[in-house]
Amino acid sequence: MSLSPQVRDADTHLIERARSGDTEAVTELYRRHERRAYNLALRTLGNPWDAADVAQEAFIKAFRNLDSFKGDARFSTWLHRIVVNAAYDHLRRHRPEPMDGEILEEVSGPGGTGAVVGSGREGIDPAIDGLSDPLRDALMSLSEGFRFAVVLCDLLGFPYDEAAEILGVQEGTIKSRIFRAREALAEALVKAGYEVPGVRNPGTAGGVTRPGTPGER
Amino acid sequence: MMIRGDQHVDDWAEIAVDYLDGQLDHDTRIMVETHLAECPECAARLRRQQYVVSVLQETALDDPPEDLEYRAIGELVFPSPGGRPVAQPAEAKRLYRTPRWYRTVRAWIPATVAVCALLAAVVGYGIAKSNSDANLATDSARTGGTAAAATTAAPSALSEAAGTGSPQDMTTAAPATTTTAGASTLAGAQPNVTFVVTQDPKAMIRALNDAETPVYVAFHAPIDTTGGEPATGTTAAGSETTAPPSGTDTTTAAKTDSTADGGTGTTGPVDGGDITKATLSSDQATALADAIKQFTGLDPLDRTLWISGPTYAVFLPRKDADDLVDLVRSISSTYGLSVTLEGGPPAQAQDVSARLLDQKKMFPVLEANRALQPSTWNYDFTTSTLAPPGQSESLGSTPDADGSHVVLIIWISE
Repeated sequence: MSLSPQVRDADTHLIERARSGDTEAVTELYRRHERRAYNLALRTLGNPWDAADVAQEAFIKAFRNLDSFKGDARFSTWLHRIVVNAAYDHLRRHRPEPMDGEILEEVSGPGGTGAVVGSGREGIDPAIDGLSDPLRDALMSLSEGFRFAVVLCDLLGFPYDEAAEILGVQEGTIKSRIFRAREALAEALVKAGYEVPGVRNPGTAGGVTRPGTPGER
Repeated sequence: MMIRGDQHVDDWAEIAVDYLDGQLDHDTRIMVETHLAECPECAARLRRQQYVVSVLQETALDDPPEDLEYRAIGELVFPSPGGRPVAQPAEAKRLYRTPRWYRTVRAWIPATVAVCALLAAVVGYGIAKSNSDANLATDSARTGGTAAAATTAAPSALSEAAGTGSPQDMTTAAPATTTTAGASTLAGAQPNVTFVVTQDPKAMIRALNDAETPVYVAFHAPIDTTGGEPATGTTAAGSETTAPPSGTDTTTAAKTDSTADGGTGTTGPVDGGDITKATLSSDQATALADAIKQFTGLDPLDRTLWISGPTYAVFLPRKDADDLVDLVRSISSTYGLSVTLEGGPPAQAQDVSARLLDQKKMFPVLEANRALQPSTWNYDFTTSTLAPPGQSESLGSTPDADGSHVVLIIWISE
């Protein structure tokens, strides 16, 4: 889902207009990118309120600093980098006391065993966050670097090179992160009752019967 | 790389990712498939990978909340008025600026950050600057020189416009080494003068950061330099020497020379026919006071403590200097005014200033809050009272004692 040259041209044109004070261009730029930007925040922060705050902050910052956008990167790269930074800042500011079951600092190990420990559910009230689906929980159980990578690439469809630029890492790092993130997500989904192919004993996952787990398939 | 038979997918994860994307060249793909055919474990893991990818790709994106657009770009689309006098802030601005989760706080958005307002503000500022800075510089240089010549109470100018120096000039009692031009014309000037006049935002911020004595911010009508009359526009005063409580010995000194008048206010002598610093009508001053109230929650001090027009006194955390400068410049550009930062009160207001500073313990703290949402450009100035009325005596020291805050007097030249 790489942005076509046409899309880049349109962004470039809109940016020029926005810089000269054209509010319609600002609105248009916003609308072109709001969905992915918001969902990036949503899926990395885990709840819609923080996501809206962070997306708002990022857009304001982006439009305020439009002059510093050099045009040597895609606008979407630049914008989502701002979103990522805002999201990281938010996570840092609001980092809760370490949740039990929080992911190990590294998602690691062959087969991803141990990558996801327990679930991150304890610290989050599903009734409040309104987004208590197993996928959300699975994503939130990943450590941040892996979560951002897999959300950008697999969920939002950013190409690896652009995701690498957004996160400021090598493309190879992106690939190895999303590989391991997917393994961890598979584990988490198995625990949540998903029938994940390639899992030897899906019957033992027991996710369906776990209290507090939304029943899934 | 080659995949050996005993190399499981962890060793070639990047290749596996490309394989799932169908991005491998023919030879590499064959190599992967050969391994997968022989290694059920890796094959199973890639199926899991594929499954997770499909789950993620099929996950619908959520709709952003409806108000996000307004929150994100509202100020750009409904910008603050810039560069023209307005009686009242636009309604859109009011709506946007009343987030209910703040107490007395009004979110403030500087006009200069709005893309649309930016140009107007810069242009407006540029005009004011070009008209006034040169004159301000000259004047401050002259007066500074005179003062230095006349006394050992070395005054200094921190005006960047004056080109005489670094911000420390204001706080280190260095004799002004300014041009001598014009000094002779000011032979009558009293030597109690240390002042700063600057409209340059960076110099303002530096001054607020470095000042060891109260800093004065004055709103006044744009300085008119047409007609060849030099616009002095400066407010001559002794910021160092009037610093309470030691400076009271100089507060009675009044300037008599014609170019040293800073205030055209009603509380002081207005002298010199060549003073062109314009005053504001009381209507303008009232509108300005309303704006200050709206953005900071501050009410003017009692009239007996007015320097000229409505006057405010606060402790400003130095870390908020840039926000404050943004704020006052934004207000001034909105109303088509000039704003200057000065090292002291106008000469004729030194009594008032001294009385005002005697009540320092009653000053509120004016703080810019940015930590909370909603955004990076909402500066929410809040005020808090240090001590309840009548209990100020119990207050040990004021926030400026440790250097973290600067005493700030804001006044409107009515």
